Amino acid sequence: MSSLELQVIFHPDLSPGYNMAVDWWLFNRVSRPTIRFYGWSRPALSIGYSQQYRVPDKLNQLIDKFPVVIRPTGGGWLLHAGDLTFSLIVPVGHRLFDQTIRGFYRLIRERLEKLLGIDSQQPVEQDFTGAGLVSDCLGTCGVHEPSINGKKWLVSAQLRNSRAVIQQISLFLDSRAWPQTTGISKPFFLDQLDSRLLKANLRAAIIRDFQNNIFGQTSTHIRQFTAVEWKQIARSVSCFRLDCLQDLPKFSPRSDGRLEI
Amino acid sequence: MTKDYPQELLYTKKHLWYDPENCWVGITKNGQEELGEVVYIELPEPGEQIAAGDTLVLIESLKATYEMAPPVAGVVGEVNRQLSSRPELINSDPYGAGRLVRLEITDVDLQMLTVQEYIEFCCE
Repeated sequence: MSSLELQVIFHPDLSPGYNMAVDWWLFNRVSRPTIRFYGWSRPALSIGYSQQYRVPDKLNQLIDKFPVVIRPTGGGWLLHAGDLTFSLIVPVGHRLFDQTIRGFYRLIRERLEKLLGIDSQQPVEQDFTGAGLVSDCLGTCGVHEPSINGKKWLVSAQLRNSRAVIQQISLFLDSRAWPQTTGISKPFFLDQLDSRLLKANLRAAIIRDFQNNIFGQTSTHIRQFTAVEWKQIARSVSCFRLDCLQDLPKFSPRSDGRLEI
Repeated sequence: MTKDYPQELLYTKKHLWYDPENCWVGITKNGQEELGEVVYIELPEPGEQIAAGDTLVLIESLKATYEMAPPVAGVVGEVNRQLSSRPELINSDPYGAGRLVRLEITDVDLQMLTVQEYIEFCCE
């Protein structure tokens, strides 16, 4: 594989724990710029890394309804239902690695707005809210998380260290998949837009656009995990599941030996 | 702009500052602005040996989780425990109450930036 290729990963829908374990594996192992598309085998809640230490009240009410998974990235909790989820992984050495945190968010927002032809409202940077540990991703206003009619259509979160950056991204595509009785604030679903790109074409369009305009790679390479790699990934799945809210801590990149994959 | 970056400190391109007088390490004003509102921090234990590039502290802001690494190896001395309950001090007082840890540097080659070099780097 050439260093100029963008590594692309698709696979069938996975359980919530597996989805995070795959991203964690890629964050720790990948040496090429990578984009990974993934789906959820059932609706699930993902919570920001530190929310495992202070479980939001609202989440306690939802824990019986949906499986909960800990994201390695930050941010508030988010219901995954009818969203297109994908991750960008950039290893050190790639020019994008030097992009600032906010610069990363801005790049992604600008490309997706252009691709989808969306003229969305830009969030106003809020003063310190103190709500970070208990917040709902869709109910708070983040930098470079645009909205339409006050509702977000794009949510993303980031983890970075000295070796790599990973950005986990959700685009809301299918409003029929959103549970009706949860009381969770509903995002703006892109199926409300008359976009020729939606659904089948969107994933391919994102790859093409991000390859050229974000990663600056000349071609793509479809990457599949080997059986050995799936076994390595499987080892950390349980670390990301929040099965029991009292059983803390669950996951720590600094200290959890189980995650040294 | 220089008032935001004390002259006596050294700086890194990853927006950490280092005080050669007392070995305290923290996040620069520019660094905390980039992170946004800090909501959570995991600190190392005193005595812990940190290699260059290893995670010194894990910081979560509203949108990003950042494993911050020192540019040089060292041994953790004092730790600012106050940050565990008040991580927002990193935003409000990055050179004082929001400082992170004392790091007794064991590397000879510091390779850090002066305040002028850091400001030029931030303006690039």
